[in-house]
Amino acid sequence: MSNEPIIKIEQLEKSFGDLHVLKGIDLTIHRGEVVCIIGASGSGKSTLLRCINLLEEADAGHIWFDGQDLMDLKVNLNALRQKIGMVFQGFNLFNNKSVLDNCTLAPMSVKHVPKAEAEATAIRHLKTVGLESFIHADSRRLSGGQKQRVAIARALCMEPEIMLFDEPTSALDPEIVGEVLDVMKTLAQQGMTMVVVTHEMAFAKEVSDRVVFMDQGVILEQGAPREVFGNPREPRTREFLSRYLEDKME
Amino acid sequence: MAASTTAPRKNFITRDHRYVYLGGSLIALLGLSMFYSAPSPYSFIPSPSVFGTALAVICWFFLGVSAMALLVKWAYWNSYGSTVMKRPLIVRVSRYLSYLDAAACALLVFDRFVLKLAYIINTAVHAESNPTETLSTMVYMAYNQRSLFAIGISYTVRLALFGTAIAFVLALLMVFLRIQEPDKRDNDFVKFIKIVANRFARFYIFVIRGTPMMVQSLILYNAVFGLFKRTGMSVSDINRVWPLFLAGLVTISLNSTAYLAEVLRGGILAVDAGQMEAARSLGMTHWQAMRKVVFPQAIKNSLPAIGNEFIINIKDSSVLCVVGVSDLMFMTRSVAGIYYKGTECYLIAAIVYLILTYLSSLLLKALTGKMTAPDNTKRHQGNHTADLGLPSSN
Repeated sequence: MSNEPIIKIEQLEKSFGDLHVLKGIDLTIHRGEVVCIIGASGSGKSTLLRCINLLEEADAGHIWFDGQDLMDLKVNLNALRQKIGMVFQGFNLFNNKSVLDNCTLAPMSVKHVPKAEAEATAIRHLKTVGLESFIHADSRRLSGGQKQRVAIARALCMEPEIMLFDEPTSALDPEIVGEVLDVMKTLAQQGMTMVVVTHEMAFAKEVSDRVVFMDQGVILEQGAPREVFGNPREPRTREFLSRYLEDKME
Repeated sequence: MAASTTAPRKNFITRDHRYVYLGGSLIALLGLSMFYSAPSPYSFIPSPSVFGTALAVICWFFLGVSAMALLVKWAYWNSYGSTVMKRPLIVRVSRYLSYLDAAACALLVFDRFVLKLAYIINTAVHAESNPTETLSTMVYMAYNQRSLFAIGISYTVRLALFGTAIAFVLALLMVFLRIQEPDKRDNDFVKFIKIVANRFARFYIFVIRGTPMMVQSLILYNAVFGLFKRTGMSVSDINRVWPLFLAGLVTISLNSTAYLAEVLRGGILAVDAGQMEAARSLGMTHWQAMRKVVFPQAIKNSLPAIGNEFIINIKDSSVLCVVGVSDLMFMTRSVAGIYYKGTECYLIAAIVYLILTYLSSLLLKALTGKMTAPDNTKRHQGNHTADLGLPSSN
């Protein structure tokens, strides 16, 4: 982890109609850093993540990626998104493609990588996520955990500089959450820059370099996981975490 | 009447005996009605014969046995199981009897219905003049004008088949225009083009869906004819370059384009938005994502509805007879004019259309069933319209 910022967000605002979702977000992500964003549902975590790769257009503010302001309307979106991998809550594997084709489609059509090379890369990443034996499987036939691991491999095939995870385990049943989190831990150890929106507090505590707590469209508190979880400054953070821990106990 | 506490008598009709006794009784009644109807010259079971009487006796006997069984059931509602009717031997014999009953009925139906039909057809086909009886005259006209009907069927099938195929290709283009939405990041020129494309597609669909195909065909045929006329071409030359079949085909293609574009748009909307987002998040352009991810799934979603459009076109091509396209309807009207027999002729047309649409729906069910078979996700279940039988008109 270096001190070089890869993403710098300044005073980001976003509304859906009358609903003010992001109310002036400031956040900096450094290269090699693993940042977990936690907070109650509706606090704007996912919207913030989706603004970073412009799946949502923010209304005001700035997002700098490698020194380039993404709010500038002249930015080449497609070139930008190649460098930002995204993993969705609902997996969103291409239903009409096999596992291998899911992974090779974007490198071949966007980066014009030759087929053989794209397949070799895909197989390498599918090995990383432990799915090398499912290469020719129909992507709809996989379990949720397997789908999410394919989705991670698919994003890795574009060789992104940063990976965004939008509640990657929320749609999985508790028994298979582990297999996805393990893959994410491996990625973190390999030095991948990651922004993870999650409700997995144990994961956030163990893997992240920094935890960001969001509430009602603002970042209320951020810091090392030890501080945020061990000794939260804000009463709202304490309330959220305590309620969360209580729920976990039951 | 304590029976009602355990099994209400209103269940009388629905208990297990209904299969053998009630069903068998209906079959026996059908057989008897055949026996007492007039035999045709082809009949091999004349009414007073020993064989014919034997068949009738079997039916009557089974009716009697059934009536007895049902009476016993009614009287011994709760203890029916221990009555003589439930003894294994009796049960088995009544079952064999029901087979005999069915066989007798089948013979009688063949003799009095199938052979009579064959007789009517055979005499109508060889008749010197148009018979008066409805069925006979239908057979007579259908047989004697079979070449006209064959031409009509061929035109109708070709119009529907090629029309739907051409419309599918045009609809792909039309839906591509229809789904264009200006984006914040487009430059002004692209924004303008997208708005024009979108408005054009909306207007086209609005006009085509809002006017009858009959009117469209008349306008199109006459307008193009008029255009050629203005260039100074002779009528026979115009008829050569702008034949009626072509006019009909263009009409049906342009008409179906509007409907199929909306079908495809529905198919696109049915594809989960996450598919597009995932593709865009990997850096694919909107067009790449559409072409490689969304369109293939949308077309698969739309296959049953596209098949329906083909069946609708078989029926709706009938309106093209107003411009004089020699489709089945046009030919039927010609035949009706020859014989002055409207009802019977149009009944023939109705039967032929029914056969055409039924065969098409069977074919389409087999085809689309195969193509959409591995796709059993919940989202698609509401989308299968192929098994709804014959679709309604546009």
